[in-house]
Amino acid sequence: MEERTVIEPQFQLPSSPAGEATQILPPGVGAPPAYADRTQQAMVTTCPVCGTPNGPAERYCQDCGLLMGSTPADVEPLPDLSTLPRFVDAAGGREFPLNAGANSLGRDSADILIPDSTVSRRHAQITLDGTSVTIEDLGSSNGTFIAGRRLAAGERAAAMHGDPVKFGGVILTLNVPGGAARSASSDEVAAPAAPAAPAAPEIPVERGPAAAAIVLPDGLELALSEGVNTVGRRSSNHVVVSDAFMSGKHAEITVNPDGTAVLVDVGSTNGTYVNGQRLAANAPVNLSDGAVFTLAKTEVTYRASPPAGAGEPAEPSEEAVDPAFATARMSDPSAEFDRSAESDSATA
Amino acid sequence: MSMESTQIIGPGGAPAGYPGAQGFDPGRTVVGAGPTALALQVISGNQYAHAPRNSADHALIQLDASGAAVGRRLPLNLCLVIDRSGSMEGEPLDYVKRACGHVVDLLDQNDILSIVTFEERVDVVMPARRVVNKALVKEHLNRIQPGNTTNIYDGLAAGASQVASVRTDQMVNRVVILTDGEPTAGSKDYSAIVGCAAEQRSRGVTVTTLGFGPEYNEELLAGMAKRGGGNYYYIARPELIPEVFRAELEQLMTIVAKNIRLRLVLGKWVEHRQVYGQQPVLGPRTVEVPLPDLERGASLRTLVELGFGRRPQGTYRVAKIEVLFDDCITGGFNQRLDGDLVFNFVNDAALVASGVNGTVQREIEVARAARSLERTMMGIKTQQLTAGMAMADLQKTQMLLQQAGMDQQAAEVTQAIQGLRSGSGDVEKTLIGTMLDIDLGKRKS
Repeated sequence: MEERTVIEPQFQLPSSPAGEATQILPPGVGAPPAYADRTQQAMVTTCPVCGTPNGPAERYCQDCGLLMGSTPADVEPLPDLSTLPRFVDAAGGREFPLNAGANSLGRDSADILIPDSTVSRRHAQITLDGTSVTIEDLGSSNGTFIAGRRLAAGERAAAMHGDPVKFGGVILTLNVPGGAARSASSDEVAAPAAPAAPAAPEIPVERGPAAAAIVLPDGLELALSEGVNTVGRRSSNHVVVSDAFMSGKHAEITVNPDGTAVLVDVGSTNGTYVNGQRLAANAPVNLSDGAVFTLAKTEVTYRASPPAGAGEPAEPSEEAVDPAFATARMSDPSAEFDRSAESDSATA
Repeated sequence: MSMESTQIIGPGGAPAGYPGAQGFDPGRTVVGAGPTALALQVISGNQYAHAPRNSADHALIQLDASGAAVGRRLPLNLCLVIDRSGSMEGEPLDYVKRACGHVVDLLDQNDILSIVTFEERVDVVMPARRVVNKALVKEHLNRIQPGNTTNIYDGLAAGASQVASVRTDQMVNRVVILTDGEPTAGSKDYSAIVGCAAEQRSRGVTVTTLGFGPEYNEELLAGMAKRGGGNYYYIARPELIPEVFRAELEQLMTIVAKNIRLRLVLGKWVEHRQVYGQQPVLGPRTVEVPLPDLERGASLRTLVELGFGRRPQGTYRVAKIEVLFDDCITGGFNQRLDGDLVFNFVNDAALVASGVNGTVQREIEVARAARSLERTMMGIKTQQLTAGMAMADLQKTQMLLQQAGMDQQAAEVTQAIQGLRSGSGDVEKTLIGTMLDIDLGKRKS
C-alpha cells in the first residue's frame, strides 16, 4: 500500500479532483498488486471441512486436522452443542454431550469422564432416548442424586431438563433442548417418553399427518404436513435433504389446507430458485401442485397430495445418512461448499 | 534447533501427502531417527474412529533413547542430602557414609558435588565444588554425626539451592535425598514438601528420593520423586544403601535426554480426557506433561486418552505432538521432535472395531494395572482387604505385568506377595515404587 501512495502523483490525471487521486490509477499500476493478491491466495488451501485457510506447508488443516488434499466423504452439518442433550458443568465450564443410547459416567475410561476423586470409576449410566434421559446409579461410593433425591444402587430414574444431577461431589445440570422440565407433578416420571423423532429442538410445532410432498430427482418422496415445514441439511429440520450444497436451514414450505403452499428461502448460502430466478431471502412465493423449484443443486417438485401410503410423518433422518448421495453431490467442483452450518451454530 | 530434528520424516523417507501415497501410514509416524538422542513414535489406539458419533480413543506416545554410547557424558551437578536424625545412628549412617564415599570415587573432575545433612537443623557439609580432592570430601563425610529430628523440607531446599548455585544446562542437575522417617521438624505438610520438589524441577533441578527402613512416609517420597522428575527407591536394609546409590549414579551418568516436555496441540473437536498416571498442564487447546530424564537405551511410554466430536468422514490429525528436550549426546538444547496423531474417521462401526491397535491396547491394560495396585494398597492400608484378598489381587496384577513384558515390575509385585505372606511391613513401600514406574511409563531396554 505504501508503494502505491508513493507513485500515485505521477499517474494522476490533471483533470481529476485532488480528493479522488487515490482512486484513479492507470490500469498498469493497479494490476500488479491485484495479481500479487491472487498468487498469494493460490498458495493457500481452504479446508473443505472447517473453512480454515492453510498455507502450502501444512500437511493437515491447522484447525480441524483434516489431511489436506483428501476429500471428506460427506459434509454433514457439524453438531451445534447448544441443540444437543448434554450435561453442563457450570463450575468447571465443561459440557458433556450425550450420545443416543447408553453413556457411561465415571472417573476411568467412561464416555462422560469426570476425573474427580468423589466420582467412582464406574459411577452411573445415562441413557438418552429421544429427549428422555434416564440415569442409573451403578453402585457408586458417593451416590447419584437427581434433583436432590439419592438413587439407590442399581436404581434407574428419569431426569428432566434443567435438573441438577450430583455425581459424588460434582454437580452437573442436565440440559435437554426440547425436553420437558421438572414440574411439581412430574417428580415420579420414570418411564421414558415414546421414542420421538430424533431430537428436533428448534421446532416448536408438532408435525401433523402428511398433507403434501416434495419429490426429489431420484423419485424419493418426502412428506410435508400442513403448516410450516423446515427444509435443510441438518437433522433438526422437518425435511432433511442431503445435498452438500444445501444450507443447514435452507427453506420453509408452508402447506395450506387447500393444498397450495408457500415457499420461503430463509437465507441459504447457495439459494432457492423458481423458474431459474433466485429467490430473495425471506420473500415468499406460492407453490401449486406440480410446481418445480431448486434448492441449492437439487431440483424438487411440489405435489399437493401426500406420498402413497404415508399415514405418519416421514422419518427425516432416514435418508440423511446416505453417504453415496452426498458424495455424488460433493464431486461437483464448480460449486462452493456450504458452511452455513458452522455459522448457524456460531450465532445460535 | 537443528534442522534434522524438526523435519518430518515419514517412514518412506519423503513427506507424503495422501493416505494412498507409498509408505504413508497415518496410524504410525516415526520421527527423528537420526543421530539425535531421542526418537518419537506416535501410535493411534485405533486406525479408525467413528465419524457420526462423539467418541474417545487412546494414543501411545513413545520416546526411545538412543542405545549408542557416543561422546562424553554430561558432567553431574549432584547434591547428596542425608538424613542424620537419631534413628539413623549406627549401621544405617555408616552405610550411608560408605555409599557417599563410593559416589565420590565414581565422580571425576568435571563433576560437581555438594553434601547437605539434616536433622532439625540443616548443615552444608560440603558446598557445591568440583571433586578434586577426594580424600578431603571423605573426611567431611566421616564427620557426620547423628542428631535428633527430621526436617525434610529444609534439607531438600538447602540441597536444591546448592545445586542451583552452580547449575547450567550443560550438566545433569540433581538432588538425591535419603531419609528414614516422617518429617518431624520444619514444614511437615505433604503438599508443601512435594511442591518444593516440583518447584526445583521447574528450575531444571530434578529430585530423587531414597526411603530407608520401615518408618519413612512412602507416599511423600514417591510424590516428591514423581513431581521432582527423579527416581524413588525403597531400601529395606542398610547393607543395600551403597547398591542403590550406585544404581542412581549409573543412571545419572548415562542420561542421554533431559528436561523432556511433551506437548499435545489438539485439533478442533478434540478434547483432552486424561494422560495416564500424570497431571498435565492444560491450555485452551494444549496438554503439556513434563517427562523424566531418559538414560541410554531406555524408553518412555505416555498413554493419552482423547475425546473426539462427530465430524465429516475423512483422515484427520487429531493432535500435533511436540517433544522438547535437551540432547545430552549432541549437546543441543531445546531440541524438538514433531509427530502427528492421525485417525481415519469413518461411518462404518465394523471398520472401527477392526482397527484396534494391540500395542496400545496392552498399554491400557498396564495402566489399569497401576490403578488396581493403587486400589490394593488402599485396601491393605484401610484394612478393607484381608491379606488373602490382597494377595489374590496382586497375583492378577502380577500376571498382567508379566504378559506385558514388564518383568521388573512383575518381580516387584511377586516380592510384595511374599511380603504379605511373611507379614513384613514393606509391601506398600515396594508397590508405590512399582506404581510410580508404571505411571511414568519408563522402560529399560
